[in-house]
Amino acid sequence: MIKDITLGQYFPGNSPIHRLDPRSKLVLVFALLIIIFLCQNFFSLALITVFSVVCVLLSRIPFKTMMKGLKTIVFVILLTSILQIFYNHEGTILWQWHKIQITTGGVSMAIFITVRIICLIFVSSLLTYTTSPTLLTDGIERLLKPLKKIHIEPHTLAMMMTIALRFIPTLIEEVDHIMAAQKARGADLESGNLIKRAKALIPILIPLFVNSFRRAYDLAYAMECRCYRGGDGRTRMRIMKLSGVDFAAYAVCALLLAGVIVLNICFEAVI
Amino acid sequence: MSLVEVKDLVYIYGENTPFCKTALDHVFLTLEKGGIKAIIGHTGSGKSTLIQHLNALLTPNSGTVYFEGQNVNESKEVSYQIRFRVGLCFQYPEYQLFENTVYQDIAFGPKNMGLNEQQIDAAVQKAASYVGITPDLFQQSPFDLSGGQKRRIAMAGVMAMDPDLLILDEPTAGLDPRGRNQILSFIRDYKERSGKTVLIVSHSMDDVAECADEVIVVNDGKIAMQGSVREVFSRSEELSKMGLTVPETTRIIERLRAEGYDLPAGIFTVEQAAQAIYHFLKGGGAD
Ligand SMILES: Nc1ncnc2c1ncn2[C@@H]1O[C@H](COP(=O)(O)OP(=O)(O)O)[C@@H](O)[C@H]1O
Ligand SMILES: [Mg+2]
Repeated sequence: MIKDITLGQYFPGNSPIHRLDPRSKLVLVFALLIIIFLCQNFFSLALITVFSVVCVLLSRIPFKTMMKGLKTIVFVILLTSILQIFYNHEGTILWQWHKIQITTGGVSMAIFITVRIICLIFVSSLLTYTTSPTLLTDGIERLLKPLKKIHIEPHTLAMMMTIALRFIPTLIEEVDHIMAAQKARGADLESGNLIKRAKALIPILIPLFVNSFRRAYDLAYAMECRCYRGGDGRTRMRIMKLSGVDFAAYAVCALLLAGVIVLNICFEAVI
Repeated sequence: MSLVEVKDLVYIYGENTPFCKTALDHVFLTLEKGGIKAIIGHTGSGKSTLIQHLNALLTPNSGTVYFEGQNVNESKEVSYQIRFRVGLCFQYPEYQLFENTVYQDIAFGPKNMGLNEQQIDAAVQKAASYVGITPDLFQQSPFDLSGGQKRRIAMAGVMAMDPDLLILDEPTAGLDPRGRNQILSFIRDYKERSGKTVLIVSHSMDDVAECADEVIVVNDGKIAMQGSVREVFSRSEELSKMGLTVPETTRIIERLRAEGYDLPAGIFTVEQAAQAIYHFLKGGGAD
């Protein structure tokens, strides 16, 4: 059950999206998230939606996988849609029952927000689906380089992130294991009130922490044995270089931004 | 009535995912009461998966597990109670200690059983004595002790529930020869003193030869053989096809026999080998 968490799952591939430089991807995804929020009417939203779908098709990530990413936030989507439908009283009334009324304004707002959330999820999950965690952290490290001026070490941050990502599956396995072992001694993890359940977590959490510290020490020693001394003077196996795909992607996104702005000006805003 | 009866057990990890793996494939197994039994099989053959069904930690995809005639998956309550009767000690149990003191950690199981203070105290004292943990260690933190001591404390934590069947998954894994001998002798000692049935899981034939009465060989999710140590070890060719080798001692004696030395067959431990060679050198030949 605990294994179902998909976190930054990477789908290897060789699509144009996969080939983008991780730095470009980070910057572009950030830009796209802003562009999505800039959309003010259905025309600009449609443009962005088409763009997101084209990106997904280009990446060759199966739609089923993308939908799975949506499953976790279905609740959020439903909640916001319902709130919009019942609390927005603009436009003509479609249906009424005592004080509850559903209006065209409410329905169109609900649709607008749902589509927007789906676009947000698609674009941001494309980043993690098409970039391996190592490349991603490498990209972040390079982008954060200016922080060195204020004495924050981007290399250290990136290394911490890489290690954290690496150990998530290990820890999940470990939790499963410890849970089984404590259940074998009669630990009851499933019944009782909140306080009892919180208490029942102690036999799981303490071994987990103790083992994590042990692992951390082991890892630190192993890294030191291989002469790891932080980022200074380290060279890289993969040298990042912007290529044609990157420039094309920047151009497309610039055009997209222009398109959204034009459509926002030409048509009436709904939000 | 048999102690354990497994009927047509199938278990699949990650069913309906691309990573699904049939770990147990129509397993039938009967275990009688008493003695030390051993499950052997190479890594990934399904030993750990099998034993987790015996105390209802895993629920079969199909098939049934009976403990003393009772279906262990009959209801949630039965599954819960069965864990006190079938004590399962996992591989590397030392990484599952959590209490402030050795005493409290051993007492975790008995406490969950709902025993009173006196009964808990008696159970802890007895369990600790099985594995050579002296009362002067009781108030120490389990995290301050040596690896071998931690493992023995974890074993005591399961023994303290006084289970009718004690299952130990790879109890000697990762120990030096001295630690290994110590654990094996504690296990034999436990069986003698408690009179309970013990089931050990191992991939070491030497461990099995040294303490088991009955051997169950698991291969690729199925029971491949079951019988006495002598019966199973005499089928060394089949065993080696399953990635298992008979104990080193047996191989040496077999080699000597092939060279024409008149030694008896069916020798599995160093002591037996020493005896046989002693007899041979004294001129007695095979007895
Ligand atoms: N939690 C799990 N998830 C998926 N597959 C597993 C899991 N645990 C074990 N397996 C698989 O099931 C098979 C049997 O494993 P296991 O019972 O642990 O073998 P053994 O204890 O004999 O080494 C192995 O192929 C293993 O990869
Ligand atoms: Mg195992």
